[in-house]
Amino acid sequence: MSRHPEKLTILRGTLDVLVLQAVSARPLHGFDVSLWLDERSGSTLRLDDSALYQCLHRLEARGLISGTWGVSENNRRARYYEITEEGRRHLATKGERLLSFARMVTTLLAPDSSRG
Amino acid sequence: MKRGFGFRIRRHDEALREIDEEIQGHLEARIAHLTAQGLSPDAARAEALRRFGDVAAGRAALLAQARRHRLRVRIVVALEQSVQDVRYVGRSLLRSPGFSVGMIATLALGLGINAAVFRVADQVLLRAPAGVRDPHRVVRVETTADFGGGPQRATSFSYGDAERILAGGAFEAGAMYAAPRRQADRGREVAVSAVDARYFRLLGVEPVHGRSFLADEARPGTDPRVAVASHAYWERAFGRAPFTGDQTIVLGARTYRVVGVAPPGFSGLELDPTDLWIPLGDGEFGAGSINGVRIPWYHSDMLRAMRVVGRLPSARTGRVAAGRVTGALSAIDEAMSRPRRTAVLRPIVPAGDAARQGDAHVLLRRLSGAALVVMLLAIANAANLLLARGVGRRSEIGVRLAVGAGRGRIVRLLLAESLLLAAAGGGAAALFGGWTYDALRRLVFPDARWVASAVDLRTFIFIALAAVAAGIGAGLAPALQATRRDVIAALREARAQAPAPRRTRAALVVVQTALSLALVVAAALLVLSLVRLQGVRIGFDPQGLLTVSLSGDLRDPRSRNAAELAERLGDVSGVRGVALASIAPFGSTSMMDITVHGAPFAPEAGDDTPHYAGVSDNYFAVMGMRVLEGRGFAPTDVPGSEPVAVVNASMARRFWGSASPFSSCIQADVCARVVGIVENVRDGPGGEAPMRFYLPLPQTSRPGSSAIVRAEPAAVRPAADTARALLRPGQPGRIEVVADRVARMLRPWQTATVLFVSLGAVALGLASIGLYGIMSYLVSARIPELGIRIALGATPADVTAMVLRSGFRLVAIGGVFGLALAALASRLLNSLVFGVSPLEPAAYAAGCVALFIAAAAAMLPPARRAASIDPVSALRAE
Repeated sequence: MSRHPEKLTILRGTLDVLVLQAVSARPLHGFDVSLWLDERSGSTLRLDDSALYQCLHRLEARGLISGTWGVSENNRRARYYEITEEGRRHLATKGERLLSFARMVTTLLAPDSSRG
Repeated sequence: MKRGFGFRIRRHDEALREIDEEIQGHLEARIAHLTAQGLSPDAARAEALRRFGDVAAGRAALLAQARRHRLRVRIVVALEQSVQDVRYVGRSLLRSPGFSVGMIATLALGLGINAAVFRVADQVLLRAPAGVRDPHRVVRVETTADFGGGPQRATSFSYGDAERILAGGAFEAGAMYAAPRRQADRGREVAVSAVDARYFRLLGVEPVHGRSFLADEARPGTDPRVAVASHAYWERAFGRAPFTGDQTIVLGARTYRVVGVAPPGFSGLELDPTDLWIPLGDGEFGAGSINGVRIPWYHSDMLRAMRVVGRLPSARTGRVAAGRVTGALSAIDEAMSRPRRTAVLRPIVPAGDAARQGDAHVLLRRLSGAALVVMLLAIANAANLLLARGVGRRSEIGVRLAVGAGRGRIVRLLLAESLLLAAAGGGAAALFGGWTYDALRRLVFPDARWVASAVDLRTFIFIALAAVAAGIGAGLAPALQATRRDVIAALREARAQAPAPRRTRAALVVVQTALSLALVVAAALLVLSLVRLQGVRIGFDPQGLLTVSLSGDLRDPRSRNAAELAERLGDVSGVRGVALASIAPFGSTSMMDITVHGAPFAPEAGDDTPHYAGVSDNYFAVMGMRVLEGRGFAPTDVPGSEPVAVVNASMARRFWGSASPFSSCIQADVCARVVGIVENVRDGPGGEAPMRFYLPLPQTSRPGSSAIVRAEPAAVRPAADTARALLRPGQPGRIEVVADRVARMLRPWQTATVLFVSLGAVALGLASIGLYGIMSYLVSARIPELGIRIALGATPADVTAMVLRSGFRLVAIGGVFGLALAALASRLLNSLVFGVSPLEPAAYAAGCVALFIAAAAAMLPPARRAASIDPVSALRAE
């Protein structure tokens, strides 16, 4: 997905969950989401903005988020994405699954990383 | 279309514009953010673009995604809308149950009858005999020759001729066989066909068990006593027993080893299924049938029992092959100085015995025509009903157009209505058609073999296509007509009459009247001919008559002879008399060379020769045959007394004309003086009765082989059971209730009559519904006018008469066309009617009366309604 080999690449389903998480607190436009991902990951996660927009549109087509045109803080027309009820349910189940997966991987890899 | 296209472009543009705007906004925000972090505008711009990735590709991907999404949405919306349409239409149909039931019944009747007839026709006329490889290349050989008096067709050949044909090189492969004959296997009837060794290979039929026949077994005179059973017969006779190759079947007094079993489905080339095949070398086949003298049948040029089939190299080489067959026969015809025979090769695909093809097939073809007429009527009716509904809904449609419903959507709703009706009608038609089909095959072709298939896909497709075509055809025109109007006019003249549909509907009614009258006349012709048929004197009294015919060797002391049988049967209660004959009254015949002394006319060459039978003295009385002149036989006509003979009316006419035959004698061994004339016994209702003469049984050297029993009608079946019990095991015999035979003979006529009468009734019913529809419509369209007339003093009787007059005008026009049509079409019924001219006035009169009654019944309710119009409310509505 990412064309930056030095950065962490990310699976599509994972990105969906992360983007849903980003818009779960309040409506965000695309650039805000990109900033959110950047800040939260401490700049370790980087993906093309183009891929981010495809993700947003895909989530919108699936009815997990809804987009409306609004005005941004610097007075530009921008499309704001808001999580839907279905999106919340999706986030809850998929997020939980992703977390437990991550915990499992962490546990499994811990001895190796201490030895290395 | 143009608008729709423009629409798509606009939506497309909008999606792209939004994507561009979003990307643009994003890049600007990113640049602003980076600039705030201290980058130079140029560097910030470059970094923003780098982070975005390939802008063009991203944009394209987003657009594609948007398009896919929109398509999905559109499909979902369309589906939802159709569900809505169907629901809406369903509700509106339920609100007018009369209309819906009328439509569905119309389609069910029209299509159902057609589907049934189509399915029968498909099976009987179009489908090849089952189990034959490449059936379109297999042909049956027939010849025509003119012996004076028009060409005559021959479908069977002597063994010698069959050999000549097969040696003539006409076919890639050829075979001969004898059509199945009925024989008895332990009391059951078995259809046995003698075939040569090439038969199975030619047809591409591989036995599933065992083998077919060897060349040696098929050579005449070898008498191998082996048989191949059809799969169905094998299962009947042996159940699930494994094939061993030494199971046996007993035919008459002979035991046959079953050496093979044919594959399932194959049952010979005739419409009557063959149960058992024996090789031509069989000793019993064709044995001892010429006047009791055992002539090897394969040496006789007289015994023409062989049918010849051949396989053409390709389906298109029939003409060449026919030429070669003609050539193969020409030498012998010339040598015998006979008229030359011309070969005709017939495909086996219209399956069926050549002789049987006659009545049943003509009936089927006529029936197809009549069924088609009924379908036309049904479609006309459906169109009429939908038109009426379209007119009634004009105001509804006007309102819908006014509130902005698209014309397309309204057309779609109306079409959905037709299609929903078509689906319901088609379903009903499938049910009704299945039922009719079962009835048809039981009635018309009870003995025929049928390809057993629970669901016939082709019939289903036929019904579906016809229903949809009828639905759309009947629905589209009214749909378009209903919407091709401006809104205001529609609302304003919601109830006013529209001239165009009125003319269309009047024309439809005229057509319906004409078609249904033609069908009713046809039905009346058939009813009349059935009445005449049942009144035909067939020369004897079939009620309470039973014949028991013995075959096999009657001199075998282990067999019952007919005299012994007659004695025992005479003791059964209810039996009034038992006669004996050397041969059964129907079916097989005996000929001998005779000379008639003292007859003014000698039979010409090529004429039929008289058949004869030796009969006991009570024969004529027991049969119920009338002695027309002279006397019958007496107990005194014994060996030693004067040899006497009785001739039938047909023979008397041909030999003596109006002269008296009583001074003549018929010379066979001795010269038997003619002492009486009896009436003709007919085999079938048509044609001239064959010539026959009778000799007293004691004066012939022949043993009695048939017992003829006259009993109280209730005692016939018990007598038959007694006869069956009297037969020795393995003794071949045939027990026939004569009334059944006569009924079977009349069955094609009866069936034709029943079917045509039902089709005629359906047609008349459909026409009445159509007439009722248009009269109701006309009355409601004329309410204001009639209201004024009533207000001005017209009496209810005046109004009723006026309405009836306008209706009968249509009926009269249709009636004239119908009579002309019937006169033209009735010639097609020529072979189905008996003793009735196709132009029989009574039939036409009956048709007119039926039409008048149906029309009156259909028109009275609307006319009554017209008479009861309240002038005040009628005028107020205006």
